[in-house]
Amino acid sequence: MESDSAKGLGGIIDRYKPFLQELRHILYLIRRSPLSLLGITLFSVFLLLAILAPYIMPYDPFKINLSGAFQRPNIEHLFGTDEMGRDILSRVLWGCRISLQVGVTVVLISLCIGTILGGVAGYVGGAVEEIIMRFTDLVLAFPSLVLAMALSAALGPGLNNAIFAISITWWPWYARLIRGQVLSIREAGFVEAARCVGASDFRILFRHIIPNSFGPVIVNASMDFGWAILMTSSLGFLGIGAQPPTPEWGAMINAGRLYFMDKPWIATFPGLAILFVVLASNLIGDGLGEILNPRLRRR
Amino acid sequence: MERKEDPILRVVNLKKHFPLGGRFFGKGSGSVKAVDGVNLEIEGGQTVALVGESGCGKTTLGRAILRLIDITSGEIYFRDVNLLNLNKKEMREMRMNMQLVQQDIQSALDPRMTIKASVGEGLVVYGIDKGKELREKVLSLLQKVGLGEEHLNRFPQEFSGGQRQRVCISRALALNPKFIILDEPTASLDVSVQAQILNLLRDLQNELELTYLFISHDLSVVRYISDEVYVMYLGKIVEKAGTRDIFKRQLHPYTSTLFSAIPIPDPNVKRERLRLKGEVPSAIDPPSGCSFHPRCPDAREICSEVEPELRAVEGGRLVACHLYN
Amino acid sequence: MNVLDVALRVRGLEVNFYTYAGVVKALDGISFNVYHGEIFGLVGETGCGKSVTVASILRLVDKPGRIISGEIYFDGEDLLKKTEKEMRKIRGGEITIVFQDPMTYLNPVLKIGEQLTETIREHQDLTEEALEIDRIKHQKFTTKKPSKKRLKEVAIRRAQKALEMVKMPNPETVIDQYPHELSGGMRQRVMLAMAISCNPRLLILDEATTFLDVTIQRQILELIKDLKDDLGCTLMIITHDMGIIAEMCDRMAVMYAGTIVECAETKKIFGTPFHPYTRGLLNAIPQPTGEMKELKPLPGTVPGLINPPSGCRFHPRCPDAKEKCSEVKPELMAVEEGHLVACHLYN
Repeated sequence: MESDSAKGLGGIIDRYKPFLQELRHILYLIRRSPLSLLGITLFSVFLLLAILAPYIMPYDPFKINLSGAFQRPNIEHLFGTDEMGRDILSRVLWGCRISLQVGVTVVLISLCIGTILGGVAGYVGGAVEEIIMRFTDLVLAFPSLVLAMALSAALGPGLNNAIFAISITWWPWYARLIRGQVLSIREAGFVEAARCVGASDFRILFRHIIPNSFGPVIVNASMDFGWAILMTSSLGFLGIGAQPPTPEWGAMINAGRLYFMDKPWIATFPGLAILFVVLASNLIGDGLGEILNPRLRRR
Repeated sequence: MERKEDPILRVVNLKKHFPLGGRFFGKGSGSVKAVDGVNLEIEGGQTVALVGESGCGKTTLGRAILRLIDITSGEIYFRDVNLLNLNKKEMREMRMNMQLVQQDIQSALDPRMTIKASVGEGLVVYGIDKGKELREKVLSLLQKVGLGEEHLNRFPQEFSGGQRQRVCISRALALNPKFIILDEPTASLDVSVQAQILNLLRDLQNELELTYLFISHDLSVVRYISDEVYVMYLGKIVEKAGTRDIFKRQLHPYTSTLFSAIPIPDPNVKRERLRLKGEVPSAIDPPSGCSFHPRCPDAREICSEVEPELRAVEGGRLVACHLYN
Repeated sequence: MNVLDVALRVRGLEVNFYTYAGVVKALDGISFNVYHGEIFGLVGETGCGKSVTVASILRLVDKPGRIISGEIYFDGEDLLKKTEKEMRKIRGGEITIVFQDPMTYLNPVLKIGEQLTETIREHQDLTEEALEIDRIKHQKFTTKKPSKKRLKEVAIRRAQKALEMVKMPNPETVIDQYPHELSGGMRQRVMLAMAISCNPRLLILDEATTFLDVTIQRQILELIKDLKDDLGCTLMIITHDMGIIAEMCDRMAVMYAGTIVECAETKKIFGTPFHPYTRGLLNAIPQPTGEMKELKPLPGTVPGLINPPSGCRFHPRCPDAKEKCSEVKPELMAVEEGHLVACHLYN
């Protein structure tokens, strides 16, 4: 009687009930924090724009039209046109795609590297830990932007190189965080229990410890998303990252810099876009921090 | 007394000293002598209790027996096999016979794994079952401890302390062990839940012919569940006796102090004042001679000079005290 | 018992917690008396509401909890009607409490002496003694306010006296130590010293010995008994350990799921428990002495308090439940003289 229904819909609902309950609680907490609500709304808008960009942008972001250059924002070009006559609104929308992709990629890559190194360091301990952590310290000693610039310059211009360079400068934070978490979770009862049932170190580290370490990491990762975009834009602004004609926001600001005095719209709109995306990311990070911190949670 | 069969577990002169000082550069000054020469014998089907207060080394001893931590010296024989001679692979095989139920119920189950995954982990790791058979096996294990199908896909946070302990017990049974170490399994449970768990443990022991090493500081629980009692103080065994005997009469002064300190749930019993001085000394620099002598109400001169050996006295009892030499 | 003998009178105390999952009806209108000079025990399992009761007495119930209704009379005055300022005077002064885990209740970065004197300076008037020190030791005759230094001196003296009263070894050294340098038993002595330093009229111990070793626990319990005799205060012991209740308490109340099910002298409750829950509880305790009985635990578990059982909250687990039990909540009534039970079996 029971086993049949358990395999059907009831079983599925049963299986996900704890997730659903946790979700309900999280939604409740989100509702009580207006800032994170704002952050989520803002971010969702940008996400939507990024996804729909190819369908809603009014013009081709790469189409040059020198005769229609430097138009102020008007009915036909809501954000005006740039020095090549390209529609800025379309370029900003396309840049949205680029930036969001960049943010996700950078965070994912540095998270992977940082997790593996930090996890191994925390779990194995001894000489291995010392070596990894000192290497981490070494990378952290460099100001991240300067290091990214140096790496980018060494690798050559281009958006992909910029992404790679930033990821390399970013992983140490995660390594430290994860290592700290691993050190405390290592002592937990279920780790000992896993050892009792013959689990290998590999299994214990990757199946038990690391999944439980992600709490504080998620907060950092969501805020870092904004930082990654900011860094990429900085590199683009400096002419190192994305190259024209790629409509990356930083590169667009760089291009608009020359004309800023009398044609401010060229640099302003991409600048505002960066502002709001990074703001959204920070608000979400803050909100998540509140939600995930059990002591701040007001039940 | 004649021994019917060889003991299932035999610990010989086990020592575990934790060195002090830094990990890298430490030539530390001294060490924490958590376990300092312990001999233990447990016969199959018995429940042996290991009793003592915090810092006496009972938890460390339990972990050492299961080879979850390395030992400084000594031997551990499980069914006459010296565990210290086994290589990693052989020890892994051996682990199936010896399991652990932990004290801290809060952290004993991985909060990100379902009950089914936690209980079945051993079976997965050793490749014993998978898929449908795994599910059936886990279900039958859960049913043995009084849980059911509806609990399979839930997470530990949804369960009460008593239920979680049942899950831990069923996890310990998964690999068909013969020997289980229970480290204060009911310490944080309510009275009635504790009673349920104790009865469950007893029933399981009868049904599956299990042997228990029951570590506890709660003497009333020990009286209910165990056949023999070992009393530990500062890393050493000070007394060993059958449960009935030791509750009737305690030989070692520490044991009698311990027993006189238990609150008795009977308002009509008059209690004497505790004849115990001071605090537990540090395990880094234990007192000379008998480590209990500074606090012992019956201490004599010899007690501060010579360490008493654990000797056999009447009725199969062992005591380490100069009063009985 | 004379009305004047009542130190603490709780009537119809109701407390709810408003959480996202629903309203937790933590206390369902409880009533009990604590008489002057006695040791009163409150016993129950997890979720029965003992800690909430204590928090209510001290008016420390925080959001999302709220005291809905009831009265708590302490020496004739309703504590629930007092202002926060008045309560602050009472807490730590007239009503003090010792909690379970001294490590979290002692500030790890302050020395013991500082923490003790903080309480003392808050609640006691030290000017008299300070002026006296000036007169006797320093030949200063003045009616002006004594200096801060002098007041501090007096406070430290009293702190040391408090440490001596709790039989702390080497009190002069301890004053200058940090909490982490002391053992668990010593820390609990410090908590006791803090609690008695201002001559409280009611001392509450909330699972104060739960984390201590058996022998240390006994030392502390013996100390508590001595302190009570020396100070002449009233004691309230909250615990889940029936052994401690049996040894220490004159009268006791048994709580279950936010209600009081039985209240009487300790000897009477252990001798003739009336309520089925009390009986079940006593049958589930392993005995360290006497006959070895089979433990007969109650079936099931303590109910959640968001949707507590209707009528008598114990009825789903009660072996003697009748139809009335699921409909009507039983009131606490006297079955014998001085023995109150909330159960339809005795109406």
